[in-house]
Amino acid sequence: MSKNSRPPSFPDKRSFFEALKSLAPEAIRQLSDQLGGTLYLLPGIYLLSREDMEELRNDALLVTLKKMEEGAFQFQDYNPVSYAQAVARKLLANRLRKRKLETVDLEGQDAVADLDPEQYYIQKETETSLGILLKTLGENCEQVIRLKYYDLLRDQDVVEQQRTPYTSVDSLKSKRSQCLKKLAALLREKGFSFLQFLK
Amino acid sequence: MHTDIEQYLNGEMTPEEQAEFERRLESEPGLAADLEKHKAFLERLRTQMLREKIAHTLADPPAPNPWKKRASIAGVLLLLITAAFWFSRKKDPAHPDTFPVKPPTETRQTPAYSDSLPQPAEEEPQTPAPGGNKPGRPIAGIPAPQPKPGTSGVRGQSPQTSDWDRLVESVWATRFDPPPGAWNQRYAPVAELLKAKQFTDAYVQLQLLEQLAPSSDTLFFLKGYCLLELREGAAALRYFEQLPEGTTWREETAWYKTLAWLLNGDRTKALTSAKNIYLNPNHRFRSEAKTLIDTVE
Repeated sequence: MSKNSRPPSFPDKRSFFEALKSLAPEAIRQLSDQLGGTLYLLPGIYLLSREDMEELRNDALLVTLKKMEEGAFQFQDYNPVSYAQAVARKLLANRLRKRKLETVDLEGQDAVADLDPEQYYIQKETETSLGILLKTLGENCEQVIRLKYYDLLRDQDVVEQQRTPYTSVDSLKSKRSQCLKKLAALLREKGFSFLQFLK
Repeated sequence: MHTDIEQYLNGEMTPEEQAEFERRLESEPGLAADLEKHKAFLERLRTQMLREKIAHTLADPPAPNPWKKRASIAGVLLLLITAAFWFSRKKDPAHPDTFPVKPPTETRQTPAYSDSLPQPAEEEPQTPAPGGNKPGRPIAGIPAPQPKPGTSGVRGQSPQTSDWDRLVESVWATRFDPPPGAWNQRYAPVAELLKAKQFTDAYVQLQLLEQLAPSSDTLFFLKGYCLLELREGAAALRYFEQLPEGTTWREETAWYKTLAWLLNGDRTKALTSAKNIYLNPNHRFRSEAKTLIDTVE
């Protein structure tokens, strides 16, 4: 069905699942390819522009990976592709509903019962703004924050592996703290409050 | 931001300090609330970073398979040899078992509008597109899109400017010169930021407005324009496409959609749109459209 698909790198479901949990690029690409092929089966998908379809695919991938990380989606539940498709179906229904277009009844979408598309899109807007503001702080700040809070590396490891210009744990912590304070100040200046992150 | 909250979340406290902090959490509701906000903030940050990682991963093609390349070359060579063998067989019409030889075709029929961009070689890694909403690979089943030019962000500041980026740069022309009273007072601060080309600040303000105020054509137009200037072609198009045909800014919208398609690498749509603009002798962006047509074609 897919003109652009490659042979799967993870024919075994367990290894595929584990690779996705560790955010291996090959696994993400495989999930993207397999999901992309099934998107055409979703009712109403043809009403989206190409760009919206790609955004929908990326959103479905993100939610699937987050659910895996949180433990809400475990290996014995569903095939990751089926899960991601269920997510895509729910997000698509929300989009179509907002555009006052005909939607499909979502009964039976138990796999993603805890996904609130409205909440997801509200949070996405805030997260996108956060990403933009973080970039305005410069590459150094972005990197020190990413290494700690996204890559979950210990400060000692970051210094030893020379991943930043900072040669001691104290200077690294100090820089990170400075960056977070700047980010918080920027958020306040732009009218964001931390309350928005609780929504 | 509380330093002790950071230390607690980072696991940097001694057992005694941690126990003391947890006692404070129970007795100080404000502190507990701040802790939750901080955790939620970091969670949003992580989610955005994951979103960007997905976009980068999909924009970055996998390492090429050298055997696949060799097989492709061998296939092409075989095809050429077969074609050369076929055309080298001469036939004479006077003899029943022969036929006239057609000379090999030397010129190809070119379409009125060329649809193909200079395609990068399959092995060349594409520049990953930073930003949360940049799509990468084609969706399986959809014909492969044209390569997306450059990276998002402020124009001209990408360290890896491609030929396509230079082409887009050469035809880029935007004007933000609204007449006084063009829109509701609510949008005045954003309009000032856009005039001053402070697009990042303007984007953040527009995000807030979108959350606080009802959606309107003005908001969609301003947000689409802001995203366009931030080189987020796909996102800009999403907003422009929500504007009705008879919108006040139909000429600007038509031209900006043209630029957005160009940013997305959609040469066909960009050219079609530019030609439609050019056909209108009174269009504000007629000369810009002509420049685009001449350059891109």
